[in-house]
Formats: sequence, C-alpha cells, structure tokens
Amino acid sequence: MRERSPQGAILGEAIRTLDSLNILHYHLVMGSLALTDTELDRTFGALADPTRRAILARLAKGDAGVLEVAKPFTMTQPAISKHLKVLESAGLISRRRDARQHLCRLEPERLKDISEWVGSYKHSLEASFERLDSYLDKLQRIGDT
Amino acid sequence: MPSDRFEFVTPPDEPIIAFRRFFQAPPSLIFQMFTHPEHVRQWWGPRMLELTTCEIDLRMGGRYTFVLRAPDGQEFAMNGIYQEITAPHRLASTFTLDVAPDNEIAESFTFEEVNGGTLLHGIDRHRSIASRNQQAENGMMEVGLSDQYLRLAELLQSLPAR
Repeated sequence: MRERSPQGAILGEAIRTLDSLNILHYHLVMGSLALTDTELDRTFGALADPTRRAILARLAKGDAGVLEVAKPFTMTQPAISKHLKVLESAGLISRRRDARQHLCRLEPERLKDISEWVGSYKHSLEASFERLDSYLDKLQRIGDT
Repeated sequence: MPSDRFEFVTPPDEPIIAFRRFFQAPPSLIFQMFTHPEHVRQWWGPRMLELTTCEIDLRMGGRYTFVLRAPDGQEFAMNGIYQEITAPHRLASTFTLDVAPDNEIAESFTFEEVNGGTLLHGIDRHRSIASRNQQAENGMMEVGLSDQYLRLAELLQSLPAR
C-alpha cells in the first residue's frame, strides 16, 4: 500500500474534524427537534382513550369525513367532534374543509415523533438488559457450584 | 415584559453571536441553573441527547467538562475555563469542542433582573467570522440553542412554587 503523503494526512485529519463537527451539529439540531413536554403530554393524553385510538385506526386507512368517522360509535356527533379536537391539538390528525364537510386526516409525522421518543430509550434499555443478563449469569454460576 | 422567545443577532463585521431570552425566575436561581451540575444536567443541550458527564469547578481558572451522548451512542465532549464569576449577575468562560479544538469560543452570560425575572444576555465570541457563521447556520441557533433554553424555561416552570 502506498504511504500517505503528509498533506494527505493533514487533509484527512481536517476532513475527520469537519465530519465530527458536522455530525455534532446534526445531533445538536435534530436532537432539539424532538417533542417538548407539552407536546408529549398532549400526544399521550390523546392516545389514552380507546375511542380516539379507534378513530386513528380508521384514519390510517384513509381520510374520512366526520360523519363517517362517527359511524361505528354509539356516541353523538358533538362527542366525536370533541375527540377529534383533542387529536387535532395533539398534532395526530388534521382537519380541512372540502365542499360539504370537514375531512379528517392522520398526521403520521407526530406518530413518528413519539416512536423516536420511545426509541431514544433503546440504548438505556439495552444496557439494563445487559446488566440483567450478567446478573442472571452470575446467579447461574452460583447455582452451578 | 421582555420576550421569552429566544432572539439572536449575528453582526456582519464582528465574529459574535449575541442572544437573549427572558425567564420567569430571579437571577440568583438562573445563576444556580447555570453553575450547579445537578441542575445543568436537567436542561443543557438538546432534549434527545443525554449530558452524561457534567463536571464544574466553579472558580476563576476552573474547568468544566460536559459530554453529550447522542441517541446512536456517539459521545461529544466539550470543556472550558471560567474567566469571570460574579454571582448572580455574570458568568464568562471559554468553550471548546473536543472535535474542533482550534475554534475556542469566549462565552459570556449576563443575568439582568427585569420585573422579578431574568433577562439573559449571551455573547459567543468566535475567533473568526467563518467559525461564527458555522455556529449560526443550519438551525443551530433557531432550533438547537433556542430549544435548550426552552428546556430551561420548562424546568423552571416545573419547580415547586417559590
């Protein structure tokens, strides 16, 4: 293999520095885009209700008008509208008017946000599972002796 | 009432970023939030990153070391030396990222008492306009730093009533 020139080494070092700085900048910005406490409260609050989860499941199949969303439920349409408002203020759905009615749409971005939020605990979870594993190993060894 | 929005300016002819934000808490409390590791850990940096190391030797010439861990496990270390400590009104230090040791920043905070709260004035002085621009670009200020101080405001709000 050809020996790298000193210039090459300097350039390589400069690129590595630039890369790490860019990666750090990326994390500093992306890591800040995550949900605020208020958004987390609203989102998980909105999900903590079977009717609202059923509405989300319906909208996952496609946009729907309020009447159609209300159809499977025994509750009144104003009650359903209230649930839709909660989902909307949590950013889980959006509503827009077409000629005849309000159309509801699932906003997958917010679901992605909370999935990332849960995912951010993956490392600590894995670490604690590893600790549990090594503890169980130790127990096993004690049992074997 | 001053704005609790995060605002910043980048003058074209001086390598600084000047920013400010209002907090509903007196300077004495804000100063503690900036200087005690147990508080700093709760708000410093982006909310998805963990401040795994937070060592503060709060005296003139004393050093602080912070390590941020990203969700993918990568760690980024940074440190600085305290240059001015005037509780609860002023705090100045250097700030250096381990990944960019040549770009030392001189950072200063002034905690001004306004209407029982604190108007935070921050100045990051870079060695060059280019280095300053790098910090000011790509959402670092509008998203990154702005969110960090939103975290501080949220933390202050969650404290029991004083």
